[in-house]
Amino acid sequence: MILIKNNLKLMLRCKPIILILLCMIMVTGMLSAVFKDMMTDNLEFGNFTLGYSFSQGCVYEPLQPVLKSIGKENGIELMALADGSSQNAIQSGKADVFAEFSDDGCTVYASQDHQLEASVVEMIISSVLSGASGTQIKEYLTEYKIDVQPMPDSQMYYTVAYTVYFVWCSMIVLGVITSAEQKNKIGRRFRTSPASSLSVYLSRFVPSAIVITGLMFAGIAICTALFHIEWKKMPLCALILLLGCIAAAALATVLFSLIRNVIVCVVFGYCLLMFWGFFGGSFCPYMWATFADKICDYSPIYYMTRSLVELNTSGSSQFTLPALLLLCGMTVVCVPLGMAAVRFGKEN
Amino acid sequence: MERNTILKLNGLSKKFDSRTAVDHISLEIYEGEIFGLLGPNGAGKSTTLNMVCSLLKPTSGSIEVFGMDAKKHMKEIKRRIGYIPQDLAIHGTLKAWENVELFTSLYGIRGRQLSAAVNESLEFVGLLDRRNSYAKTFSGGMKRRLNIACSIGHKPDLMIFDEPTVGVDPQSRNFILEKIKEANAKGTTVIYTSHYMEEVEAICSRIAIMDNGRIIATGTREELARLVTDQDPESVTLEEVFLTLTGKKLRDYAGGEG
Repeated sequence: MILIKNNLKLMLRCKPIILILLCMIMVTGMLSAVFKDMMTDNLEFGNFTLGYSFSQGCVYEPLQPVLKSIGKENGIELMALADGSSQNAIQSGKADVFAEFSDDGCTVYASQDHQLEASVVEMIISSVLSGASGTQIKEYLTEYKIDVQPMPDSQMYYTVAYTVYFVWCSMIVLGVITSAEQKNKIGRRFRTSPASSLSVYLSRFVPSAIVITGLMFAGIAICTALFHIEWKKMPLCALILLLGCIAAAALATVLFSLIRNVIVCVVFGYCLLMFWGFFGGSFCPYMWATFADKICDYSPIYYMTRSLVELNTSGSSQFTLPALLLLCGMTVVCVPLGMAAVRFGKEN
Repeated sequence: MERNTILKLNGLSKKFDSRTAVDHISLEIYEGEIFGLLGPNGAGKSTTLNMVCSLLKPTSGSIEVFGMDAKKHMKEIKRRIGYIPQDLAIHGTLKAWENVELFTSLYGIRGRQLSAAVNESLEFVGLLDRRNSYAKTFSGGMKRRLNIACSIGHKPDLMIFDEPTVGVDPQSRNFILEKIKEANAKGTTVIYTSHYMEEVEAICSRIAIMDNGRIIATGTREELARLVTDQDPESVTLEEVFLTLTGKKLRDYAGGEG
């Protein structure tokens, strides 16, 4: 306990630690502001008006009430217009998107400003028409519902992404103790004392976990207040982040005990975090779509960020369980490794 | 009167690659004495002490401390040794009492016993009134004294001082020597290494002189003096004895001249 307490004091008295917190808030603030418009333009759409027309005697005419029902459920206002009036409807602003049905299928029209809405309409109608045949049309269509993933706003996304990223960056806090012990030649005091490897290990792991957790929650509290973020599934999100902090502290203890040179350790940690962050979506949210899942699998940041983002948008995520298991697994593996590394360092 | 052996080195050696730092030394240190270990730089003093404190593993030979084999009972032995390292080993960003508390707690001392030990150690080195000051604000002499306080909180039976007065002003040096004598008077056995002959002369009851990894002479100041003069041992200083024994004359002798 005394060892843990004093190492905690050593960390908290190191003023540069506060830079981690400041960096996290500044980076989140800057990126969420810079990419706000981009994310809005590309990823968000609100209610819109869909004009539609059926050619005379069109086989798809029975779709009309069903389309209205789908539209109502998904914030799309449907407006029946005369056949062949697509250009006028779009130009006059009566409709944002126009769907022209004939026996051959459907043609969707939209201006450049409503490409995203046009894609949504196209997706709906394409699915509907591909499953439609004769009298079964109605039954099939009544079960149809648009499955659109809600998108996070930039503040939410970057707060989550950089909280997770800085949780792992905070591994550096253990460097305060390690460098102080090396600079002050404290190692020989441990080695000439009967202190067990376990107590020495805990004196590094526990303060690191406490400081990383403290920095993380302080960062989240400030970002939440500054950027007006509403958290959904708060207990689950807190659990993921807490396990992330514990896993980061466990990994830091392994690295700093194994690699005795603080500078080499920091450089190694930096490279590892760049890799994890790059494939984990810390630097660009579109990475998820671009990179193969197999590469992302190697990044705990990917699981944490994706799970937290989805929990705060959809309310659930298939990445939550893997994230929890991965973080627990990392801790379970790193604790005995760290203890072995501390014992090795104490004996040599 | 038979004396208890506190430390017994038997054929102890330490090699670093091809260099032999300590070469088959055998030595006994008895309970209640202040034993001085003298030698020029690189003689093997610190290496020997580091092996006694388990900072280094011997290449060969054995170490017995308090009658226990160091290989088998190291944890028990460590509880009874206080090692005061040559280099300062204190945290500058911790207060004086926090440093002493931290390093005393390594010996399993807890609670009120720990608080009392912290105060006693700080009082012993004359820093009780500065207990709440950060170590980084201390002068060189104060840091040296704090370094000692950090090593004695667990009340060791054997204190090992590795050049504790390097870079210390005369007042602090005198204070440290007086305190070593005080601790010895209370029954603590002391091993003391230094380059300052007058210090060793002033406090040590027996002295060993090391050179090139070997112990070349052991005895009281008088016994050592008789090795270099047939006249009154008081007529030669320890420094003259040391220079004579470790100088060229002895090397020639050790080389087979005489």
